[in-house]
Amino acid sequence: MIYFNNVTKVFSNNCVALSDISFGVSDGEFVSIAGKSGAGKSTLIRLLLNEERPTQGEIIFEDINVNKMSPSYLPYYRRKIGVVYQDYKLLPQKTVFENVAFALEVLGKSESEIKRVVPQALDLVGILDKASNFPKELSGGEQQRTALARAIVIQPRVLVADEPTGNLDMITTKEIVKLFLKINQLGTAVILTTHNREIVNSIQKRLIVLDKGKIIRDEEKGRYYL
Amino acid sequence: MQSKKFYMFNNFFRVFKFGWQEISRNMGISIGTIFIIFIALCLVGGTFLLRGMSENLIATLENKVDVSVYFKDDAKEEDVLLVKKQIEEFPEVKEVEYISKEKALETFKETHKNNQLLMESLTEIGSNPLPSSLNIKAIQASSYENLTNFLMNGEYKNIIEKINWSENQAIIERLFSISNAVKTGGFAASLILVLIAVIVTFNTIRLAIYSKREEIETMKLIGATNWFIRGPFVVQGLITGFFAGLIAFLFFYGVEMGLSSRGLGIFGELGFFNFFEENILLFLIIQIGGGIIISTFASLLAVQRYLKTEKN
Repeated sequence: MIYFNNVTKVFSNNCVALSDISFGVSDGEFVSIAGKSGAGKSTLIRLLLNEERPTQGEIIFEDINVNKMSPSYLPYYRRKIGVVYQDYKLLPQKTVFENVAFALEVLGKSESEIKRVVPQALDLVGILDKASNFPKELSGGEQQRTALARAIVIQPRVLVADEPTGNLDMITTKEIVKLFLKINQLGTAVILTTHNREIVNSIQKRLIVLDKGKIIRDEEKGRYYL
Repeated sequence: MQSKKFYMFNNFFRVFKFGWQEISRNMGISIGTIFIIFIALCLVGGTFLLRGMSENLIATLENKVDVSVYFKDDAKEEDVLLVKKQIEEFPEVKEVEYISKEKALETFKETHKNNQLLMESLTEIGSNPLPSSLNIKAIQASSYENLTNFLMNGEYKNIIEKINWSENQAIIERLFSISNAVKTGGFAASLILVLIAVIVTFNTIRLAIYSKREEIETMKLIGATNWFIRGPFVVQGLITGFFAGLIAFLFFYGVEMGLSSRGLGIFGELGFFNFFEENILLFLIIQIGGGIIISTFASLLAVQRYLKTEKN
């Protein structure tokens, strides 16, 4: 479904963020991408979302060459991917319900469908009772669950999570990781970046380890060690 | 499958809903923005009114300026009428009125009918002591001097008793120079004030949208099209501009009502306030239209900055 072919990213200050990266992600697969801070994990996600363009190489999503698409197609491309960030990126002036509904409103879905689907997504991540709260009234874990509900409500082909547990305590982290596994079981591919060894080792799925912008390991059921 | 029409209507409705939501959930910022646009519109409206009112006032005063040519007692009526005809041929002359000896006497009697002493003196004289005269109104103050020269040096100088131009010359010239200064200076001042108003409004809205840049980024990542993001900001611009314009109009309306009800002496008499009343609809359109245009355009421009796809 997703292919990175010999992707290199060099920033304008000559800092090499990624060097000759090649890997693929299949439909319904769960891939963890681990590495220290600065290893290039976030850059890799930004390239996939077309927030940045690679210096060399190409990225293919289904049959789309991500870096050659026209700017006007970009919003439609991003609707195929559910994204969760470390800082949640919720819209502060909207309630939990409205934040999740926004992803469907962007797609032009009808009000009746939104009223039916959003509670299901909120229920799946366990925050249906917080539907009318604003983000600032929620804990970090609850905010991340909201972001997760927003990402999956559009039923994306792939869910991308960039250090989603970076701001959370260990217990909440485990709960969130369980949710990712549950979503993956329902058929959505998941790409999860993290520097947390415990998380990776508890997941026991495919692991890609990045170091200084290079892939140093790519293993099925890999374990992360430093 | 949803039809395209339904999709567009849905989006249109949502853009309005989001715009209104942003205003109502950020009441503090919204009121602040409305207040700034209101101040800016007061500058624009104030200069518009002041210019119009001053021009009205000056036009009224200019209309009151005239030159009277008094003829000698023995001047024949046909000669006076010939002079009138000649003066009327001057392009800068607006109006010439002939006042015969009889008419002058009639007016004099009418004006002073309650003054016993004057009436008795008039009877005692026996004949009509008042001269015939021509009352001349010109388009420009400078014309009066030409006319005076023409009359004093022309073939009819012998039948002219006096011309009262020279007596009023200083005042008339001063009035016309003020009028010119108001016309040119007022235009320059309005331009500068309008520019200030536009810059202040732009900056206020730019700052308000700057605080939303991360939300705009998030919306882009979720896959919102540029118009879906831009739309609510445009709606906010429309609504805040409309309210600011309406408040500014009501403010001026209130001030005008308060001032004109007190009369304010000569200013009221000279039609200083007529300008507002005559142009009330135009003023309403300028205030509300100006508010909407400035605010919406500023929103569009400010949000555009964050919609650009920046890539290395």
